[in-house]
Amino acid sequence: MIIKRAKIKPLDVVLVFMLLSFGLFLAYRISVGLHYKWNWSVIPQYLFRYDPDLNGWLPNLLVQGLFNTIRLSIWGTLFATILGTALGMCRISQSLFKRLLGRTYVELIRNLPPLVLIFIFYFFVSDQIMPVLGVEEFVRSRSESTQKILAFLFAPPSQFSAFLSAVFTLAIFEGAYIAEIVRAGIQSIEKEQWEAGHALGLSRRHQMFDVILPQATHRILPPLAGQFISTIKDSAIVSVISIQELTFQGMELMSATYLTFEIWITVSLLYLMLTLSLSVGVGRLEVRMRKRY
Amino acid sequence: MKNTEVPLHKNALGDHIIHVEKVNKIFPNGVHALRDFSTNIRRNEVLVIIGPSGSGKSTLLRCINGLEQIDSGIIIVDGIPLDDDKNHRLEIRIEVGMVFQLFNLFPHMTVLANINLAQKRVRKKTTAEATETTMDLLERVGMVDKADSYPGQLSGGQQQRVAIARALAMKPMVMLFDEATSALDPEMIGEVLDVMRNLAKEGMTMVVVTHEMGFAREVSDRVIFMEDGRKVEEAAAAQFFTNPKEERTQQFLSQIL
Repeated sequence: MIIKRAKIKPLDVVLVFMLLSFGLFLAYRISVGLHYKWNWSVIPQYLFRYDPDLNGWLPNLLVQGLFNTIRLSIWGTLFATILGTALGMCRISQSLFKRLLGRTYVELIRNLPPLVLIFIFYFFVSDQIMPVLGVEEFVRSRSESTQKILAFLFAPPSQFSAFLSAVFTLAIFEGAYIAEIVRAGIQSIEKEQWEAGHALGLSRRHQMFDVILPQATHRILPPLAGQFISTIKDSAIVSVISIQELTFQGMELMSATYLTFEIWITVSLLYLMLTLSLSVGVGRLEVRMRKRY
Repeated sequence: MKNTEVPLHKNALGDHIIHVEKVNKIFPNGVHALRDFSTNIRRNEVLVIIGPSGSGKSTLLRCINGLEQIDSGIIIVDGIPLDDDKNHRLEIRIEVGMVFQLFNLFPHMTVLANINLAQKRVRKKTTAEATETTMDLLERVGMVDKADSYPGQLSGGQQQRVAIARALAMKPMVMLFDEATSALDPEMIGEVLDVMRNLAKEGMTMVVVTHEMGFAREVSDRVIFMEDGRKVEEAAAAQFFTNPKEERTQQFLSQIL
């Protein structure tokens, strides 16, 4: 690959000038047109607050929201991966029923607005499934130390059920995309690998789990990591069902303080901090994966 | 496993280990790869199949171990009919070893793991038992020192020797070789042919699709010349190469010898 040295051309200068003037124009409209009073000084206290009793700093609304977003994304991706792998394998199964099942799931989920899905799943899952599973009672009957661990990993008892519902909803949604990643990964393995397994007398199950999946996993990992970043972004959507993640906290704060721009810029920066650093990580992962066999 | 009809076929076949009768294979794209193809393969026999590309040689091998479904005809391997019965199909592909043109080793596993896998999964051996067999086989193909290498670190000839060892690990009754040397650099063909030659000497039943006429001449008991899915000529090796009957065979041999 030949990398040319960047040269600044007249057009570039014009573009930079246009961008700059647009930025200035925006700033002017906000300060003069909206009579917006910038008040950045109050933002830090919503990130961390000082607790005199503990004599230390504790995460406040926005950082708590960020943590919840991370928890949601991790668990959501984890369950979505399990679900997506199962359904991705269904998509290429030899059984017509399984193929139809996988296909229906993927097409249904991918062709509906996520917001609509969230409402359907959430009210079904939290209304019907969670009480049946007895999640709430289970958490409350644990010892205090267990509850603390659960609160750290998931959510405090009062929000536990809602949190799990949100995780499952997110997992069902992201699962459809992961199913497609898994399907594509499996199909990218040469059919000769199946044939070699077949000729050795391996059952289809063993061909899949010993020969195909380990190789597919290798190819799936980078797009899967990319999907994790998508999950972080998509998790904002569960704010509509009152999960206290970053976007929800932003909305709460905004309605209390009316510091629209400061809050959303801060929220954006927090999201970017997460997703951009992960993007860099995924990029490195891709390079490393390409180098191996 | 139910195969009550096995003794019957065994008697009917005599010393024929593979019975192929009037087999037809038509691919979905309309290519008629095998036309009423029949042959019998005897125990300990080395059968070489030659013919121009697209003549159905590979398809025949792939049909025998169930990689392709036949459209009509009968294939019986060691008394087990290759039909819709899943158990029959499984038994046949366990009993029939196959070596592919492009080796098809599992790239994510070491040589040792490649050869151990089916022994453990299909023959239910422990890792220790499987490893013992594997090391014996690697000894035979001269690859003991590469047991812990990955396929990607080996030359083509080495990979093919490992692939042969992998197929042998299942203790098959028949070995099918599908152009096992066609993808190799000339200087590596010899090492693979040596392994095959030794196998033939040990009395392994082999069906070999190859373009290596010297090898065919030296090792084979019988030769079949195929074209357009049909058997053009079938003869004992000595006769086939010195005195072919069919004009098409003479023409083919004169082109490649």
